[in-house]
Amino acid sequence: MYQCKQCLATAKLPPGADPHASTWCGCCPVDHHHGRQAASCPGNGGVGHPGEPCNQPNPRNCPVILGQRTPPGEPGPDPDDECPGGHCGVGVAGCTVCRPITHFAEVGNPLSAEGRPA
Amino acid sequence: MTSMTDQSRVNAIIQALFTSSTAFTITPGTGGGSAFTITPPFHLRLMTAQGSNSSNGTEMGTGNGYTAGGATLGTTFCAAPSSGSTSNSNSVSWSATGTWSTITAIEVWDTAGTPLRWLQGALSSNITGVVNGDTVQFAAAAITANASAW
Repeated sequence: MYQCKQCLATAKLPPGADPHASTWCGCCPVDHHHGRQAASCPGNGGVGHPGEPCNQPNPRNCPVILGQRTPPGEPGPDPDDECPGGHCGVGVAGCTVCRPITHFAEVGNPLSAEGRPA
Repeated sequence: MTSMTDQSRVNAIIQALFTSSTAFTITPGTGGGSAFTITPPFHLRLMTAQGSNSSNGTEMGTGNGYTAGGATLGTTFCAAPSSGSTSNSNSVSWSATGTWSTITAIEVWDTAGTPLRWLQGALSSNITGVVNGDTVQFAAAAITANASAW
């Protein structure tokens, strides 16, 4: 089971599903992969992002990105595409992903010893 | 028969093993083998590959918010057992600071000078997709030790 740290919604996803790819919580209504979008951003708090446009769809209206902790990046050539805040790069040192989640784990029966037939 | 040990004896054994908060030694009688010590607190270790009852699994390496050796399960690992089954009393969690490998199993080890492994088993579902900022948590009662088949 997973819980979004931002809105606290929980969901149980099928085995193998990427929890960061699903829009199962209310933080973002757009069906796009937060992790992949963040990782493809050439900026990281504005570093290495001089004048490059944001590749996040409608970043100005994205409630998840607006809640980012990194400082704003540089504006793109189109004012409507101005980056409202740095994207988090998954795997980048010091980064916090767009929508961090809690993974709740469960274990079956650790003991596998079996009784012997009489 | 498919089961072996009297339920009351099983309850007493696993309660002694996993609810004690201090180290103790079991010393068998003559011909009963060597004494052995149980050293709480117990630690929960995360495995990228499950072992078996006779071999250790592959533990996740230190880094990205995880430290080899695992995290403590608290002063007392489990509550008193019922019907040969007991579960962890405390939650255990890690804050990821990077991308984790897939976790498939867990092991429970004590904290002796040379730690001993006591339990091992597969997760109900693999832990996958953990990235920087995520939390991995085993809530209280998420780990069940079931000795009813002893």
